[in-house]
Amino acid sequence: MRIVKGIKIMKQLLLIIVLMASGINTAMAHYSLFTVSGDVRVESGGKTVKATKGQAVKATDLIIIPQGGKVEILNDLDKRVYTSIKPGKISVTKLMIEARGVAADNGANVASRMNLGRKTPKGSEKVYVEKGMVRRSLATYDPEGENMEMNAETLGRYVASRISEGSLSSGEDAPVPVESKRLPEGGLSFKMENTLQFPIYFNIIKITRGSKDDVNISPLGQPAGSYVVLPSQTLSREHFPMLDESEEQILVMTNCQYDVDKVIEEIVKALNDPALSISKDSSLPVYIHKI
Amino acid sequence: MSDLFYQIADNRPVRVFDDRMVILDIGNSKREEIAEVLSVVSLCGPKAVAIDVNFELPGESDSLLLESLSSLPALVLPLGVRQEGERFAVADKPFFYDELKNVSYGVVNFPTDHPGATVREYARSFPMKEGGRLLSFPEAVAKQAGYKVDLSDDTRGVPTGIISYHSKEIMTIPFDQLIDRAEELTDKIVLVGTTVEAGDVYSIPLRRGVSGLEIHAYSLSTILDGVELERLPGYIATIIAVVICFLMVLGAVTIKSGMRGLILRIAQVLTLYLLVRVGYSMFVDHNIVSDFSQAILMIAFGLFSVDLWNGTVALIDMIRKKVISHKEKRLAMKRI
Repeated sequence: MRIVKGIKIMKQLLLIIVLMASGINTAMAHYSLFTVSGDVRVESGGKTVKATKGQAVKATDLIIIPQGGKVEILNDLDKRVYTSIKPGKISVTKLMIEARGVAADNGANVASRMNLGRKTPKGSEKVYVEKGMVRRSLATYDPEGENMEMNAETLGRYVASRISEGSLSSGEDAPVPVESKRLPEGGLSFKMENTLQFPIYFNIIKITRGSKDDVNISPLGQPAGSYVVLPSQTLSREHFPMLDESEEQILVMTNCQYDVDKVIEEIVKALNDPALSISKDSSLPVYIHKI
Repeated sequence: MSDLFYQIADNRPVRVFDDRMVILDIGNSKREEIAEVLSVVSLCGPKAVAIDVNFELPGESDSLLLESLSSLPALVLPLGVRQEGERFAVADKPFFYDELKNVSYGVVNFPTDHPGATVREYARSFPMKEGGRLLSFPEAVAKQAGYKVDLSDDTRGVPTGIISYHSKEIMTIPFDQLIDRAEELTDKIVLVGTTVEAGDVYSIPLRRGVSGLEIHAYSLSTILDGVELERLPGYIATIIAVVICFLMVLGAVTIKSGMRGLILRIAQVLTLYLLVRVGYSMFVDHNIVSDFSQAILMIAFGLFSVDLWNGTVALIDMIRKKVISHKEKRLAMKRI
């Protein structure tokens, strides 16, 4: 009788140990941020830090996703990547559970694709649109981006917002080396080297401040389309004649082509109507720099 | 229509991270740089190395390249073939073909309907002109990595498998990050090549501009999963199309209500939704690729035929009534 009781107690102890071990293992489960887009933050142990790719997170950590932001979590246990674009604060565990629920909902997945011409919900700004005309040369050099174009409205409003706030990038945080200088005659020159693995597109616009701000193509800019610099290429351009120092020459660089005329129209509208501004938190793949 | 299912499935917020392999992107590296990269790869303890780069002609300092290649474990190199009748002959091969020991070769050609077509399938093996069969690149890699490759059913033509592209994440490491991330290659299948070669980009059901190397990676992942996507037999899709079309047309001729047109159009839209919904469930839950485009077309043309028939009958009826009315008028005039 005593032996049987002893065996029973041992079995219970063993069960408790196993459960504790699995609990500990779960708590130590390896989660990391696979990709981060936008100003995503992680709140852990009362501290909030900027989320970075590869950062290890715990199941109880809170992920703060801004409007337009996106986070992907790699769960090393089940080798799955869980994505969330829903703005707000959510724990790592809940994020994965919700993502799994959405993935399993076949009806909702089909319905989201077949929206029968319903307008996209407010707040979902288009960043890229599909171009109509395909250029053969561009198709050769940029097969991924040849039929994509930055949405002029989104880009124009974003540029206008950054200009109005005075939050233009400095040369130091440029994605590629950019140099610019004043020439003795009063003109300007710039030089750019594409050290990235994909083509970059840019143009230079001119802002004339006044009672009503005016925007045009800069003398240094490209009036037809945009400059495209291929990987490992360098581009330099000079404008020798004197330029009005009160005019701002702004370089706008993106990862796919954009229609500079349409973008200029949108910038003018947004500069003169603050209601059209885009929040600073919404980070787009755009680099804006005053030459 | 199956491309739509891929796109819906790929849009889900959960993807599988395939940690069995890694793509090492050499970008636009020159031969000397590639040789150096490969010498580092050999130190990382990979399970197998597959290089999707063809060194067609000898160059300067090839000794370093050959030395690097010789030091790689379970190496697979690419071959290109051209079709000659029902068999194939080697068309593109490295200048050191068959000189290196312990090297396997795999055919990199994609089976498509025509040049530029979307790549939906991978080839398993190719029947060669001189006899025997050559494995495709992904099959050769799987074999070299120690996975079982069953080609007992490959007796005729070029047998193929459907590539499972959706909801997958395969790690890509740029070559300039290799040293910092060397441990990520340990015990993995390393696929070496470039993702930025303009002449080696294709369309897949999910998007355009995908490199051949990435397609080989997806094919390899599909092979290693051991779960094959299968096509719904054509005759089943045809039967479904005929039955649905028959029901639609039956409804069109039997519904006498004045709202018949509205009812049929609603039924048409609901049927379209149901076909996509059922097809998608079969795809994600049962790995069956179905193409209901035949059913959708037959419904459209079936209803069009009904409209045509009804319109023709109404037209004939109208003409007949006019003729009769005209005759009666003439008779009445004669009596007068």
